[in-house]
Amino acid sequence: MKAINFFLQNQIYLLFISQKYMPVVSFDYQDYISLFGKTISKDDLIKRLPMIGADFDKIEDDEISIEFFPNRPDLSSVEGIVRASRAFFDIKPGLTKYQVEESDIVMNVDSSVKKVRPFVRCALVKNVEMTDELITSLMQLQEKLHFGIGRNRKKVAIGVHNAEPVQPPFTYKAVDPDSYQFVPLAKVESMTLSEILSSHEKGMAYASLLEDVDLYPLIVDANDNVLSFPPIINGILTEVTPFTTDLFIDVTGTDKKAIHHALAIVVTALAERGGSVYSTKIVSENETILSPDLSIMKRELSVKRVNAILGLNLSSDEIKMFLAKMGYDAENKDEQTLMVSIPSWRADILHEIDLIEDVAVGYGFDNISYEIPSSFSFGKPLPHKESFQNLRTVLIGLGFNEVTTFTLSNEQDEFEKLGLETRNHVQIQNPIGEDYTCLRVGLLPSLLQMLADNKHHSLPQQVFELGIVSDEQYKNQYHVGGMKSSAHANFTECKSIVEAIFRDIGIKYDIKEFDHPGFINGRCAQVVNKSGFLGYFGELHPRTITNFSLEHPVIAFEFHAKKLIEGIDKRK
Amino acid sequence: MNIDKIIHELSRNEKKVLLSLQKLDGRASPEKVMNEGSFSQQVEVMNAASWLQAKKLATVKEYVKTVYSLDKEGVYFHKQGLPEKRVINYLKDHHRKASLKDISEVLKPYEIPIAIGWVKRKGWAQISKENNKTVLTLTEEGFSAGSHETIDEQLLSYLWDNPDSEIDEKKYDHLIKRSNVLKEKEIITGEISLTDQGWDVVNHGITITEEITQVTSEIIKNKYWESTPIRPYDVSTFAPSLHGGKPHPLVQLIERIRTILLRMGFSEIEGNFVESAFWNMDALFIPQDHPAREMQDTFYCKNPSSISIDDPELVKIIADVHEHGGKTDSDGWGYRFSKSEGRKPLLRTHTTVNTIRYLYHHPQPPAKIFSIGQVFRKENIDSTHLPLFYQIEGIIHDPSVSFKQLIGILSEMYKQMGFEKIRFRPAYFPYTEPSMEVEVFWNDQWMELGGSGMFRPEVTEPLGIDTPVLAWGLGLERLAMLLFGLKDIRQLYQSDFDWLQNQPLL
Repeated sequence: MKAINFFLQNQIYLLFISQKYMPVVSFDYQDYISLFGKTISKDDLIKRLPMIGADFDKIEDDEISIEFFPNRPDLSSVEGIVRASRAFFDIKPGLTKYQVEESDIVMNVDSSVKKVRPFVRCALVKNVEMTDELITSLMQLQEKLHFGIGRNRKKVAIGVHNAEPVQPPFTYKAVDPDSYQFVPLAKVESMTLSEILSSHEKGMAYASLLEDVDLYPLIVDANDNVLSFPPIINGILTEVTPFTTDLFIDVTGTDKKAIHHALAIVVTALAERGGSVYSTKIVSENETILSPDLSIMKRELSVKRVNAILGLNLSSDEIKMFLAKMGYDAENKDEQTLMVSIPSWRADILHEIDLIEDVAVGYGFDNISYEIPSSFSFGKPLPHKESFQNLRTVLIGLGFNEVTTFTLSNEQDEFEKLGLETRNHVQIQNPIGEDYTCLRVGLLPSLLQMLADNKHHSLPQQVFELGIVSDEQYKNQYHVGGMKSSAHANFTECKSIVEAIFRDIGIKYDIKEFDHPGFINGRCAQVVNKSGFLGYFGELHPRTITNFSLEHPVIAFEFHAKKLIEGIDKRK
Repeated sequence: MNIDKIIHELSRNEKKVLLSLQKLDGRASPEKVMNEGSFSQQVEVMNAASWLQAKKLATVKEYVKTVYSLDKEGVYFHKQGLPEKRVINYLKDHHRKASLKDISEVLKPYEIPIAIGWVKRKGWAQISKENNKTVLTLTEEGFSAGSHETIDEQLLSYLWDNPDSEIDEKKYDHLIKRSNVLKEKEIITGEISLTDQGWDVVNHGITITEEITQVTSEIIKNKYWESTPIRPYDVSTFAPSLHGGKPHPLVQLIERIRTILLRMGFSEIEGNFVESAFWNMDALFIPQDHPAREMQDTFYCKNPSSISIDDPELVKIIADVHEHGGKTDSDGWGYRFSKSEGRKPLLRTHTTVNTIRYLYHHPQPPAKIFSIGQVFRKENIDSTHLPLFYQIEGIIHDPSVSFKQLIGILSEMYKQMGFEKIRFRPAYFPYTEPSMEVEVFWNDQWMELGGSGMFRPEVTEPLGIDTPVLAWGLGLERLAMLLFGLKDIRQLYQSDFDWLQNQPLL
């Protein structure tokens, strides 16, 4: 188990998108079982759950932590996981339906919110038993939705209230920051909206979301009591306690689709815990809608396309069965087309292809057999890479150790320490620190840094790198650079090395004088051929050596690797 | 223990040291051994002794000893005589009696009190006052001392001939205390002694015969080897370590994977580090408010400050796809697309940007391409994170390929890399659907090693592609850490020389 943990904690280089956007959902195995309504062993659960699309983060006794994919916010609570696994494990395949009763609660939307935070949806959930498990789960769900689909409350913010102390109809409006004051959660004194932003923990944390607006969003009841100051904080009046039975939920935001899905996810999670869902009327200037809207969405799915994409040969009945495992209902529109019913909490179905993936998941990736394409192709290497091999072979033969160093660097190393004038180069706007503020323009600083890091080891030290630097047009260029540090390193030895390289890879060249402030005057030379300047070599100036905290003579060379190999005489 | 074999493998000098030690009762300084064995240099003794130590026949111990030489005054005294000796010699020549003024003829002014003090202390002369003058009268003791070399004088001569010698410090205490006569110095010296095993060997009897140690061209040419045996060596003894040049393990790994991919019929492409957000993100259907696009995750450039996209038509098409799906069957992300966001320059966050540009320029199938290149993510450097790392990525664009074939190709590829057991799990990436995680079985564990999938229609259709594109990729450093058994990822880029020199080739 230890070894697993080492790697799980170090899942750093997941392809495409960084792992850190994977929301981790924690739940209690016993709670899962009581919601699931059937016994499933922990081992079995751990084995089968990832095949829905998840990864175990850690398992400590009954506490299970799972990474779900950010496109599935409906799986960011144990209730959602139970619903999905009930279908996937064939306990109750197909679309789960929830009852929604009508209530007479009205939410009036004032037109003042249009430019501030235009959308709101609400719901009432009655007969809720406020167990510890429910409270834990609800808080976690709210947090995950805020972070993921809500983009840190910018797109979606959710308020959960005790419905009892407030009196509908409610109003969602934008108000002057100093015109209202109320006691926010976690405080005992009433504060104005601007005071909350400047001195309440949550206010300070999310103040940036309101920095571009003059009026702040607010939800009040019929008596002008504040329920919520979205997306910042609720009032203490509607604080949820273990004795609360009826919950009023508001979801506000800037993205109508996102708040719709978020509300559906929250109310169906509460319904899974036995709550009764009631709709509210959202009344705005030009429309009145019922919320929550748990109606299904419909999308066509072509049987032919499913089979073409997946490389399978499934009948429409089989496809329906696999869709049911994934929590959908489907019926034949015609022989080759299915009409799929998609539940309201699925925020990730943008295209038919998303349904096709779910057919594959329902079928089971591990059940898909192995097939090699019949088409034939020749692999073509990049032409310069082949000659680079020769270059490396020659350098290794001359006793050089190959190194790989960072392509990120800083101006001081790249220019100043070598005595060079700064030239146009790629600069990073948001560097991680002063050591890595730009892309490197040459290899010498990287190699000198390498020698400096290894000062404690015995001499001689010989290193080379065939690596990428960035030119004045911000384009990648391959350079080859090498360095030797020893008690007696000198220009003559360097020239011998350089001549050996050119001779062994087969290039005609001329050596001429060269001025480079990093080298000793008169002990630096350039190599040219018919295509011009190829690079330079020589004995580094003691000043350069000192600038990189070294103490022994260093000889160095750096060449344009591609120009170099273009000069190879093919006639031999 | 095979004594005959041990003796057989002894060098001539080793035998000489053993025999010398035997004569010196099994313990002696290197100098003594040198003299006893008629070595020409002490270093020969020490070399042989350390080999004997390696063979457990002798031990070499080092200790510090104090040695003496003549100082400035000492040299003068040796040449001119001790001041007190000069006084009694003068008295001897002048009827055993002389005034202070008289004896100053043979003394330097500062030597007068020293000389008076010592003749008095040694009882060589009596000092009295006559007519207000201090007069020295030679005693019998003084008379006899004048006729032979005193022990002090013997020491001065000895040290003149043998500088840096050990002396009896108690006996010569008075001379040591006299200023500028003797100078002392501490030197490190060795003591070589026979071990029990060494005694067994010498008691068994060693004979020194002529033998060849280093074969030279001279010996080969003059056929000396026909008449003289060549000494066999103990092949198990230490030889100095040697390091040549070597490829870097990471580069070797890259080359190995390149070869596998070329062999599988993939062609190689490459691209630039600096890219626009349009090609790196927008073209891959990554919504503009995706957290990965924020400054805390992606390196944006201060210079260049903007990159223009040379196909405004494509920008329009992709903007539509993001907003509402455009001409694809997608719903899109449903937000307002910003064209200026796409012009932001950044350091590419994945090599997929190379792939998508390739597809844009080559929309007609078939294509099987791969790239291996560095990508950048804003991470602080620690043992498991770097702000840059290599990505290996490939695609197959072909009208006939399917998800099933992706499984086949990946199974084959990972098998070629040495992972026999692999499995696939659902995954999520914004620009592939279906998406799949590849796990390999390594060291008794399942481990995630790469991602894969089929490009979404929102990605391919705007480029004029309506045939499937299989895509896969993996991070190189993760694989490298596994294969090289590294605990610290920095070792790959800030390599320690010892590690580089001692890490076996892949």
